[in-house]
Amino acid sequence: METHKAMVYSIGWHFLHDRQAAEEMAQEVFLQLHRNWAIIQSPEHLLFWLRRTATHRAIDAGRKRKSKAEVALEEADEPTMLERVHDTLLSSYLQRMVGTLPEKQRSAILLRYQEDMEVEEIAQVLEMNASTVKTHIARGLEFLRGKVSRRLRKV
Amino acid sequence: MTPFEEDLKKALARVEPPDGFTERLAARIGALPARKRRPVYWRWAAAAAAAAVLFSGVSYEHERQARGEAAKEKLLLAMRITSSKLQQAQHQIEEVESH
Repeated sequence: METHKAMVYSIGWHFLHDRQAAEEMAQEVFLQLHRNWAIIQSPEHLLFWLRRTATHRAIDAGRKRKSKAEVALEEADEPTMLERVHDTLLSSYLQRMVGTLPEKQRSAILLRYQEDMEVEEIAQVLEMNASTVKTHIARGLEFLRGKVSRRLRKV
Repeated sequence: MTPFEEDLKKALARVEPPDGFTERLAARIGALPARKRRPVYWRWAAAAAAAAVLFSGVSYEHERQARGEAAKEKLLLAMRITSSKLQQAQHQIEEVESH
């Protein structure tokens, strides 16, 4: 577990942008692993299982949060003036923007750039074909590039 | 990978969970109810099935032997009857010939 806890927690953190929700999600993933330990066949299978379970749990948690407080994408993505002053780091801005992507684009972007996974691997985890994954990644990148370039023009 | 993608990769680097994560998880795992071992009914069922097969096999063998014995007895009786009838017939022939 020590080997994979940062990976599982990071998927939750980058997806949900809420430390408590990310920890809850990560703990649920490891509890599920504890209950299903018998099905794990190899270290590679364990990694695949954890990535897939963490991603799907993060999507579920994101949907629950969204239903509690429906926030429109365009409303959420622009930081306030005060936040803009403090938010000088591109990384921090990018993290927040990734958090506003639609769930499929967000999952694909996270697995591609956090986990450094190939498109085919992502397709297996997200149970979709490789061309769909490529489309989600391309659209996500386009959205993020647009946001960053608009922000840089404003600064 | 483009410079923008490199920036994104840096932004999405893995982060460590908060302190105490492992301990809190261990406590939750420890609090899980121990799984009760379900009684192994199938073992009893298998033993009962094996006993039934054995019993029926033995019964069949007994029945087969009994049927064989009965048939043998009948055959012997028939042979004895036939033998006595033949003897009677032989005596009658001998009597007729002596007269």
